[in-house]
Amino acid sequence: MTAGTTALAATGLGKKYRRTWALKDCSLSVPEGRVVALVGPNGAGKTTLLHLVVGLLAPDQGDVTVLGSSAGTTRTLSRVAFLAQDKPLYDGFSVADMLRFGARTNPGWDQDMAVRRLASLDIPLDRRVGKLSGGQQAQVALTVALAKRPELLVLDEPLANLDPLARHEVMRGLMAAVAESGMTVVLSSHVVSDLVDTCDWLVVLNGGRVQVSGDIEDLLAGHRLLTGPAELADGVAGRLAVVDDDRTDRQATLLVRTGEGRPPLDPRWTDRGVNLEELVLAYLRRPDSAALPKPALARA
Amino acid sequence: MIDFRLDRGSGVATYLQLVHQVKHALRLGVLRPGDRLPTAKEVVDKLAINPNTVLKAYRELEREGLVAGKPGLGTFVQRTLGGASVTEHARLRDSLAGWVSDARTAGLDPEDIEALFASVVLDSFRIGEDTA
Amino acid sequence: MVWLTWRQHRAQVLVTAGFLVLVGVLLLVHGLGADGLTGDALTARFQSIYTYVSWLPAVPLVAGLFWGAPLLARELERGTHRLAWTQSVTRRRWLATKLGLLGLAVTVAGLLLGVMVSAWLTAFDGVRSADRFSDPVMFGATGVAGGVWWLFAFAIGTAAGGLTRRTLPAFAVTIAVFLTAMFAMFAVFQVRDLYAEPERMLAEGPPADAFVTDSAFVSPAGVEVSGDVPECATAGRDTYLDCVDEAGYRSVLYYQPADRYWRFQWTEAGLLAVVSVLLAGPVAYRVARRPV
Repeated sequence: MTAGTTALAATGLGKKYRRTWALKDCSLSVPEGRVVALVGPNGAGKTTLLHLVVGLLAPDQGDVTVLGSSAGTTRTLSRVAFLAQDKPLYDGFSVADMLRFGARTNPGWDQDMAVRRLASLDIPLDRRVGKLSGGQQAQVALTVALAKRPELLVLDEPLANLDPLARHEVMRGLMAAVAESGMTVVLSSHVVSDLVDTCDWLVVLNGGRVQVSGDIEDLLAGHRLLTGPAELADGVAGRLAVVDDDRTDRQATLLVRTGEGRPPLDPRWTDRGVNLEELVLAYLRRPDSAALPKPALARA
Repeated sequence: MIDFRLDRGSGVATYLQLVHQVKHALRLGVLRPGDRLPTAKEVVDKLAINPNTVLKAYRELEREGLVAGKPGLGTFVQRTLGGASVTEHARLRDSLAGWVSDARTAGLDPEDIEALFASVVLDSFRIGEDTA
Repeated sequence: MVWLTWRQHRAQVLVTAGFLVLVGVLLLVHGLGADGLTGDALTARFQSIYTYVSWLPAVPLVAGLFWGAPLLARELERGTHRLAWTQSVTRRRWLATKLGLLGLAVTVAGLLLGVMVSAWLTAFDGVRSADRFSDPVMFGATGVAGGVWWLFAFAIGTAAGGLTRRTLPAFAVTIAVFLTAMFAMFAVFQVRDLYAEPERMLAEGPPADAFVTDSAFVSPAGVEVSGDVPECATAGRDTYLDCVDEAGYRSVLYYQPADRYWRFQWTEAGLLAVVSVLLAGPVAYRVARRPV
């Protein structure tokens, strides 16, 4: 993993279906070696963005650079693996056939790793893919993606439709692969709790635009939740960047962006840090707020 | 070898939980100088967390001089946490007792005190993570 | 990619091969049974199977429905195109390999069927309709045209699958377009008559195996009349031909000589190949270009 280089960069990226823009003015930059959470409500443009990254779609506006080359070219195809939503596999193939499929279509295929991984998961190679459980199918699909030995792995809702145990197992496998190879991972989800502890970079997409993009620790450290008398709220709002503002006639709860350090506050305010879920929700509730880089500095 | 566990509802940053568990094991003598810590991959494979989190925890321990990474071999315990901390404990306990009696005089009941304490602990670990 | 193509389409390959073997055996048995028969017995033997054989023009639909239609539709329907097109093989190569190999396979299957039908026809020399040139069914099922008809149906199926993105609608579109194409070619435009200017010959009859396309009467003055001969407008049905004869008219035949069979075959093959490319080309282009 080389610190400081960019795994994924989009500038002014836009994609429209017929007349509506599924993605608009999307600019972001993700350093290498990160596990990126792409979060947003349904229809926010997550899948569109991921399809642009892996070259399944071509942009109508702007461009996207993956590992230093254009998305979708022969060069990037072999260095990027994609696990699409619903984890498509050829139902009629045996698990061994799926591995052969991977081997025949990828020069860097690691058959040993694939076989070892499936053996450790107790997935028989001669079983037909269509007969496996949902969790096992997800693991086979993930194995096909991992055995390609990608430098960037893109996963679209990898945990959707899985039971809690399977979710844990898939995440465990994914994190172990990251530990081993140092690859960059981008995964989308609309369930934020799945991403706590696994992802270290957050991208919030809302209504086709990038709202937040940054290191999760920095983001958490840079936001605070203030609770205090409603009459003081305007004063604070004037001084600090308020992301979300929730007031009753007496009390105000403000999620503010403080940046580095702690702002001086009237003692009538209580303040505390925020967690990932609170942060994401606050931004999603307020589509006009944005926390965009600060040029993305890689912190190896 | 140490076996990490996570308390996901605690609000304590994951890497700090790892740091605390190593320190705890050092205090209890479960880990001794020369012991190897599990590799990032081993930890990740068990806990399903970001490997960078493990590396960050180990860097923190390394910064405090408790462990040292040997390239290609792993991360090894350098020194133990023992005697010193017992006296430290006693000192901290005394000063905390003083603060609690202060709080009582100010009219706080046990629940108020606990809430306040918990909120300060939470904040201190969230914000000043590098002072842990 | 070759392995993948085989693995994904081996069911079609095996079923089609089985079908060809079955048809081959049936034709062989039927043809051998005609050995030694002559005249009406031979004709009767041929007619006994003709109802089934007359379905030969629809057989290429096999290639359209089972080879062409699912090629893109099934991938798009199940989302596996997102798997296939994000491996290290470019979409262009994926498509070229599949279209190339499967197109070749269906063409070969069509050619094989044609060879078997041709061989079977030799057992019925002289029987009307048992001629690979003059009988439209046999013409389309034999020679190079036989193979290209399969390719044509395959192209329709592939294009339909790429457009509808669903297997079942693709089936319906394939059948509709294939039948419409046949209807247009033979019922509306009668294209085979346009492949070459027919030879013209007075009376007696054309050489054996020739493909008679039209006939007319010629007046003693050498004028060709289309429709009824004016002098015999009032003649009864039984006496009409005698009347025409008495009036000095001779009959004239238009025909395509037997040696034009291959020229016709290549013309039809070329025509279908061009239409196939026009049909499947834009769909293939759309798929091979990045946005889908």
